[in-house]
Amino acid sequence: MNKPVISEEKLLWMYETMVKIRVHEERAAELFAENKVPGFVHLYVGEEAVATGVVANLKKEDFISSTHRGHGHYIAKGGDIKASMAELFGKTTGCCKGKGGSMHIVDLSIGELGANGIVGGGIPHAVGAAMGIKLNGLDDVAVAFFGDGASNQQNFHEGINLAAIWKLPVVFVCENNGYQISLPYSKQQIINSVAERGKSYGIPAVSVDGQDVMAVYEVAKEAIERARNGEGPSLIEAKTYRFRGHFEGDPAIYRTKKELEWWKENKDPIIIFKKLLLEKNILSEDDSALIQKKKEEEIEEAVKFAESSPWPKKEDILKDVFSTSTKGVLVWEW
Amino acid sequence: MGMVRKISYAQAINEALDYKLSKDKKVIMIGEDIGTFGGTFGVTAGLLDKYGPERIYDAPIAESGQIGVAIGAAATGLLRPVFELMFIDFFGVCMDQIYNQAAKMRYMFGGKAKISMVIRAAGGAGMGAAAQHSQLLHSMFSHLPGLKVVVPSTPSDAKGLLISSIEDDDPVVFIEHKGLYAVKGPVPEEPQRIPLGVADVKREGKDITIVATAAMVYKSLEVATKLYKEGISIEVIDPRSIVPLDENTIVNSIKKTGRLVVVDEDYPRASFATDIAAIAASKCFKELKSPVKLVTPPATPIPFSPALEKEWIPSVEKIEKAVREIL
Amino acid sequence: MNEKKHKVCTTVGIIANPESGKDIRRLVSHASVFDNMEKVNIVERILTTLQAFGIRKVLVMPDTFGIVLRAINVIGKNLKIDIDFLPIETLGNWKDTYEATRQMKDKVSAIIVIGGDGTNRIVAKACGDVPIMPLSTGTNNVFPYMMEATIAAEAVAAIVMGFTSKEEGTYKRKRLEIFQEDKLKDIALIDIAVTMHSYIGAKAIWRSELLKEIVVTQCSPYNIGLSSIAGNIKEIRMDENHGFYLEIGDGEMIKAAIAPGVLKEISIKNFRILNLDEKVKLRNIPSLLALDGERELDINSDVYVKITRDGPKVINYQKTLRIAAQRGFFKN
Repeated sequence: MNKPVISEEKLLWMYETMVKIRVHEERAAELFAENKVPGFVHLYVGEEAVATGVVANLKKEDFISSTHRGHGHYIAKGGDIKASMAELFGKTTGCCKGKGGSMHIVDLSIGELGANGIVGGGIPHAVGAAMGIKLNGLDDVAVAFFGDGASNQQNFHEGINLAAIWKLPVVFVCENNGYQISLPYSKQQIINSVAERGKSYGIPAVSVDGQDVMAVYEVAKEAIERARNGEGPSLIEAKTYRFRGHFEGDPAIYRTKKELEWWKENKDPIIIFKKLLLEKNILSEDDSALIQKKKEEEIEEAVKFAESSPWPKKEDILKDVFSTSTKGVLVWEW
Repeated sequence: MGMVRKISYAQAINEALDYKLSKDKKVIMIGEDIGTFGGTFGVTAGLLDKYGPERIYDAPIAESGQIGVAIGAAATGLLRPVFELMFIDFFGVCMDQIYNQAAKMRYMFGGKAKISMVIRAAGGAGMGAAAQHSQLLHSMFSHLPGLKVVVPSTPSDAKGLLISSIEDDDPVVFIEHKGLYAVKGPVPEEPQRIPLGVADVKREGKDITIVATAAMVYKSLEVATKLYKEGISIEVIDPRSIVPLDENTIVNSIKKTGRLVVVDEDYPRASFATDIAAIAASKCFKELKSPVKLVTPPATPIPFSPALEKEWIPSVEKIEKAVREIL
Repeated sequence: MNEKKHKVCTTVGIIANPESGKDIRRLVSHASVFDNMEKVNIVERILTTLQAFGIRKVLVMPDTFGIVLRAINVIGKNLKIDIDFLPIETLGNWKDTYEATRQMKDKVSAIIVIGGDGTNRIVAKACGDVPIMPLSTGTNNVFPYMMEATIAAEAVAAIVMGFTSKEEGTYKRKRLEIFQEDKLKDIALIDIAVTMHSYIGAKAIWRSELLKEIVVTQCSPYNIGLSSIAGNIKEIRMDENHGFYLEIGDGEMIKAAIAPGVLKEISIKNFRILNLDEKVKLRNIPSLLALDGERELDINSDVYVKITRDGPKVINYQKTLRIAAQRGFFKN
């Protein structure tokens, strides 16, 4: 009768995923500092519970659209970290053959529609995926991840509105980490929760503690089941915090050290979840240490793979612009 | 061959859409007033009745969202959306989705994504619609890598190119000149595909080459017919697609005639016209017998008053003058 | 700060919770978001009303959204009331409410609480003997009033200005006390539910199949939430000196509205009246305790619950205004 709402296996997967994201991101920060990872890198440290809690309710066929801060989504959805690490390095073995980098990691084979360098750019893509799902009579869902900054963009408003009027199986997940680069949330919107915006589009919306993976899991489960059952879209605001700057190298002068330390001490999603699992005897300190070690090894293996992979070749520049070849000049080169 | 019936450019486009909707369940349409209203220019009339609201989406005015939806649907491989941008001038409110998303996804993702979608958009001056409802803008779209850009001039080309565009796995910006919607011409009933990247020599000639697009094709042909009586033989080439570009046909013609006039309705700077001139200069320099002439509007927004708009749009007189100047 | 000495303190406290009205009930039931601008609007109505009845000073809990601050800005220069914000560093969680209540209880004559059952539960932990005027911001509350803020502020003014005495215009509510190893661990105002949920998660309760026991201070067939399960068996009024205990299991089926628009069939194994101060030992441990509808406590060892009369003193606005009217409260 009292069947568990969530299996131990799933709980452990969630814990491992959060640790994997954390280890990956901290390693990425080091690699960036060592000039091994070029370009712009936006890390997900501190926000692990959001991607994990949401994706824990998805299957492989479900779609997600991601953001510039997309490593966490990619890893949670099951993306191959060797391919993404090589991509961060700009190597030919990367998931984008070195043409995308951190801001564009992708794996369509697992429904990951790609990280996106344009704030809010991916929101309507998830709506489109949901349209495809609905028209093909599938029972999949699509999830759009985006931040508080994106919730001021037209693509947020238009995407939600279209999903609402067409009643599409999509869940909008706003990762409100309190800052749009430097501008605090309180100076972006006159409301205190992105969830308040759901009402304007006639869809259910809820605000949840994004540092509590169980709370995120539970809210996402309801929203996703709702979408899967054909009841239409919903909006989740997960209140979270990034433990690192907007991008690597950000001096973060817009927030106090005290504030950051408070979040790290009181609201670290991994510490919070670990405490719960320890209390419930689902995890021991030994298990936790082992998971940490295992994840570090996995990431190290990915780093080695990336480092030893070849660079793309000059002639690759001209490839992959178009899918369908045609007559005439398609890719111009003087 | 029997008599080929004549239908309008708008009807030809409708036939292409109807054909693809009937043959491929993945093809859907999204756009403003395309359903009940049948399209602002009547192009999509009857499609909602035939295919229903699950295939023909009458959308709110939210172009960025609509294109984004089309991109997402295409990226999954689940659909092949045809999005109608009512006026191409409205690209400004949705350009990010066109050039940062649709155009670049395949490349940024290392060739992993196929964005099989068409953006149909009405463009062109001549209706007194002023500066925000009259532009053609194919130059702008062809500037951006990753987009295919089609600008048909005849009903038959419109039908054949649209079928090919919908079947293409890349994002295609398909620009329909609204001054041509009512123009009738012979169009085969069967779905004859016209490949992208193949120019059409609308009239053969030996003295001078005119490269013209959309409505300018008709004006150039008018000049060619008129001057033929004086013994001037003009070759009129319609590239039909700007990306891909049938460079060979253009280059060969210039080499043959040694003279080039480009006639285009888009703005003159960093444009299709200058692009063709650059091709002529870099690839046909030795064969050129005279300077290349460009007949385009001035670099101003499009004026409203019929008295001004008439002067703004390249005229038959201006084309004729340009031809005479380099002969 | 230059605080005037009044013979009677006519300062009113305001606690408005910016976090209420946005939880998972929006997804699992048919509740909708209670937006913060509506709370700002409520405070505007409260301030203008208090001012009209001669209140000169208000003490406010600062909050992460600035509900009262925004209301002040809207009213602008027409606002003559002296408004002080408590020196609290806001965290955006229940601790703000607790700390604000603790700090204001000796400085005000009444506290207006804008929030739901959860907010009031926190206020009740610290408000002592100060009368409170609880205003509901949601659809799933039993403790606070669903009423027009203007009228609520009138009732507060009538009490604070002495037209109606506290003895006449307020009544003491019951509360539930939770004891673990003879120590008071927590309280609830309306109900405690024992649930087999394995984690606290999104807090609200909508899976009735996981419920095991429910203890209530009051219940009726015309209220919503977990207490309605008991209320649909027997009504217990807030003025009656007892509560109700029930166990869920094989037995008679009862239909109850446990959340807005969510009707569940629940099988009642047994139930009984629980007298004031009578201890009841909860039977299902380990489990989670939901306090006033929210999963709060993870319990692993013996827990006792009892009902007492030590709940907060709440203003009876109808009685208060009836008496005040007779005494010329509404005359110029």
